[in-house]
Amino acid sequence: MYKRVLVGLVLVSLVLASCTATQTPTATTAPTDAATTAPATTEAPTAAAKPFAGVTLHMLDSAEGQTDAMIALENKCMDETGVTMNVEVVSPDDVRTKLQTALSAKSAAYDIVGIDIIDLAKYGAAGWVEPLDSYIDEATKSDILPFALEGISYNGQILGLPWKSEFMVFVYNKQMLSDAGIANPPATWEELVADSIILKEKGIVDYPVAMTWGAGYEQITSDYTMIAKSMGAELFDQDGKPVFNTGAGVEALQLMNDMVNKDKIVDPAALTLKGGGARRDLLLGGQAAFVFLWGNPLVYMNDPANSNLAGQFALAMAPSGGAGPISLAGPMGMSISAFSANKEATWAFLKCIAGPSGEKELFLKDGSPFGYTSVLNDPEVQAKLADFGGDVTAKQAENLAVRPSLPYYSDWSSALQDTVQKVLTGQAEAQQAMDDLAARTIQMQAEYAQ
Amino acid sequence: MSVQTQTQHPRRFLPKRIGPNLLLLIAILFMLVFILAPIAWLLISSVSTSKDLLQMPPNWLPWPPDFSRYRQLLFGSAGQNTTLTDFTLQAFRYSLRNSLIIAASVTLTALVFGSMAGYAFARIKFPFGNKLIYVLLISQMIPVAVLLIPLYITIGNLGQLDKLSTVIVLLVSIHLPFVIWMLRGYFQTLPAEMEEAALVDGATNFQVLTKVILPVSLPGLFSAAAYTFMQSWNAFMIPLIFTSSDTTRSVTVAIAMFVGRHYTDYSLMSAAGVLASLPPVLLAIFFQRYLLAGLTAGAVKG
Amino acid sequence: MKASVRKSRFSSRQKFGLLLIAPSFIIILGLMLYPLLYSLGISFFNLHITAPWLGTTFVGLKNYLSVITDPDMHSALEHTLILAAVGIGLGIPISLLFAIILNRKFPLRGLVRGILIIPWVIPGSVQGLLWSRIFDPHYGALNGILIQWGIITDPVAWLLDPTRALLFIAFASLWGAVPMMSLLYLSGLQSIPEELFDASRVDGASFWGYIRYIVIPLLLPITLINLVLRTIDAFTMFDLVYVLTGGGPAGATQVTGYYLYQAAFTKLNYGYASALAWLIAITVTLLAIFYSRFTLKEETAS
Repeated sequence: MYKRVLVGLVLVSLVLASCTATQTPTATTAPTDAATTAPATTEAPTAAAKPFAGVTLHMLDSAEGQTDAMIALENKCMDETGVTMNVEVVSPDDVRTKLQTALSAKSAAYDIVGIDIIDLAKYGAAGWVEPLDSYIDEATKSDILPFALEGISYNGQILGLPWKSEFMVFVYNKQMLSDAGIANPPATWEELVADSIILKEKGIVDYPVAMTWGAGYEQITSDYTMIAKSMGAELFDQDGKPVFNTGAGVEALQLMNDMVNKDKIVDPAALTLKGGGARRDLLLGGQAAFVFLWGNPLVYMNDPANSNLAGQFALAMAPSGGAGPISLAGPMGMSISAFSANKEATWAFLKCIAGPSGEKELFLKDGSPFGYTSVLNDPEVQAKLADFGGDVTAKQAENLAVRPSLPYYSDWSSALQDTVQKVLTGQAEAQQAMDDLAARTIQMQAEYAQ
Repeated sequence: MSVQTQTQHPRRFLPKRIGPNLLLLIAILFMLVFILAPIAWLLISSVSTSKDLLQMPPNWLPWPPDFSRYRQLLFGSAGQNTTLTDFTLQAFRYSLRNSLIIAASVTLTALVFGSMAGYAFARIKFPFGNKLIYVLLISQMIPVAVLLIPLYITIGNLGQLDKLSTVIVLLVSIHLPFVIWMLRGYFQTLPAEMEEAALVDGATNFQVLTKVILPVSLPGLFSAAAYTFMQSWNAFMIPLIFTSSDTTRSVTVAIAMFVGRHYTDYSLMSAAGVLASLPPVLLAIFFQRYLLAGLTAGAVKG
Repeated sequence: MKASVRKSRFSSRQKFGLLLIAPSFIIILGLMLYPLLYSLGISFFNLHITAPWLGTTFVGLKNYLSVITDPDMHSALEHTLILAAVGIGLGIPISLLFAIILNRKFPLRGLVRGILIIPWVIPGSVQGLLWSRIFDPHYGALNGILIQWGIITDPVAWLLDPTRALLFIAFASLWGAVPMMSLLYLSGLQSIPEELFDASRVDGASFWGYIRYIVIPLLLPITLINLVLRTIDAFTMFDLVYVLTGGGPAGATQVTGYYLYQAAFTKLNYGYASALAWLIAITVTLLAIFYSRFTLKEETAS
């Protein structure tokens, strides 16, 4: 009997051995990963300038962030600080899943974490990121652009350095506008609606405004916030009570509804669409004339390889609703994990990579957006900004709003998205729906007030 | 269609060879259209330029086909002004191999342990009866999303993060209950006389399993293997959380990296999807012979 | 004689059985017991992850009650059951048909079997993208082909209508599941010796007998497996809903799997998510037991 068991065990161990055997090649054929194992640490042996030599840190980033320019910057910062930085990448959507799993487990797996503004309050409230007030000096702090500062502040504390502080720009098709006899791009929401109706009537496009308001998509919250703020609405009052169910807060939702259901200048199919690419492609394919897009979209749009209409696209300031040509910023922050075992070294690296010089370098090479006044005023930067769309981008950077920082933001935002979808599909009236949302928001707040 | 015809008029198709062959042909065509129509769109997208994808009705035959995505994925580097990075390309190239190792190891291990336990549950009466298998099954019904944090704590404490072996063992323990259950079902359909006769002839318990039961169970083992291979090839959450480097990352995680924060290159994703499905499809064409082997073995014993 | 063989071997055979199941139990429970107990444990707590100053509070059955009484959850459950019903109602006949086709001899059968498995091995993220590109209201292939054939004149926003959106998700999910289901049926058909089929072709009466006494009993356990797999899929579906509709329009395609994912990863409400996960597991297990009662009864009846 036991002989048979023995035979069985040998078989099992053979199987296991074959598993491990198949793994051995990984050690020998391990790729020499440009970003992690090939830093130029050995090139310049200035040991004195490397206060953190021998420290290994880990960073989680999205894959598209690891451009050649970023890798070069990482190598430079490794060289300066002496740390070895292991960069781990996943898709932008998966960063959140992976990060939250590690942080919920109180793991020190990551020292540097990139956080979107919509998650910052949540991570701050959970105590997952290190407040940087004791690290950051006044000069740096006052250098941060106002909207970028909002993107890294929660509860009076600074939780990160500004990182790729993107915002939306307003893109229009100038050929279509001139075909319709419209001289200037719309400067207000009323003009946007009026111009769209002209474009419709002249048969140039059926649905001139390209939107993507698919369910569960953050863009709904972004667009609503942008419209509401441009109409002068505050979403929460000084005491944090919801006031978006009054005045311009409701008018903004009503405008969204009218664009779809009354003026029919936004295709109802928008309620099923997600992604910046989906709305950008509507302009590229000649199906729409106006769109709000993140980053520097003109470079791609005016490339003849990507559209037959290349060259027809231009930037304008976002339409005003009375409170100025306000667009929306989606600033991010680079933060130090509260569970990091090497916070000083992490800070040194963070300063190098997400400080003004690092952000300037990334902008000049990649066009990555930045969050410092000194970078914005830099002559080299100004020259390059002009390439991206004249002074419009630079001017838009001074007219930005951000979404609210709330520890229960995900809950609130998905409730808002649901509210907007209900109103736009005709299942609820704007005022009533906003009142309901305000009541739900107060419930969410109550859970934190106990 | 052809099923009904066969069952209702079993004689009709015998003398006339054309009828059933035509039905079979129609059925095969239906199947190919069902499977291939979406894949055709995937292939078309993968060789289309971004301009081609903006046409309505679409450019069904982009000519000349643009193979630049395939070249880029296999040999090239990331260009300017895209959301694609060399990092992602490299991750993709390594991930195909990682996924093959993961899926093959999980399949092999789950098959060995699964056939042992499946046989025991099918043929041996325990005092605790068959309830134990339901205890195992319910553990697989728990969506993995809520197990990630405790698993992460455990694996982290053991110092086994970012290892292929960790992913393999985790996937085995997640999929093994169902494999056991599947194989138990298969073993139960085998006539009990076979092993009883062998036992009377003096065969040991172990010999009964390896020499009598397993050889006639090849179709069952094959379907269990196919199930396990597919589940581990497609696994996403476990590889996402437990792998971090080029030598461990699975193809599912690597391909998700082509999805940008705001913009995604559809053609590139399509080409990556085509490349990612090639190795398992080639494996399937090769291994489907074993289904025939199962048939022969079954016929001999039967 | 048989009885005496069994009796004399009873205890050693049981020992052998225990040895056979031991490795599976060690690997499953060794790794999964703590995570399972952890998720069961926290389902009775509110962890207040984003409000740590509130501490961890024991809430008893509150999480379970809020899942059960939540009207959003009720509609999610309804949509999930529709998905499962469509998956089963369409999936079983289609996959059975495919299995019967692939069990016949025809030229290039190996290649066609290889083609069948393609939908399986395309990573979930690519499948999601593929279907979103097919159903796209502006540049989608479905609109393209219908316009080309003159069936519609203007593109349709397929996913805007709640019922249609759900059916389209069900179809997309079915496409990915049919290969597995067909292969399972095929392996079942393969284990039927060919002589039985040949003999049955000689006269109609025995062909019926062949279907009635050989094919149906043999395929019932496989049907059971397919039923359970489709049900698990429907209850844990997440990717396709996330990519195609995000649960919209206005919650019309919200399903339990996506709801669970949002609770765990968007809202960080692990207690609630765990309670939901256990309720899903219990529901699916109960359905599995119900299916197996049903199929086993059929089996004994025949």
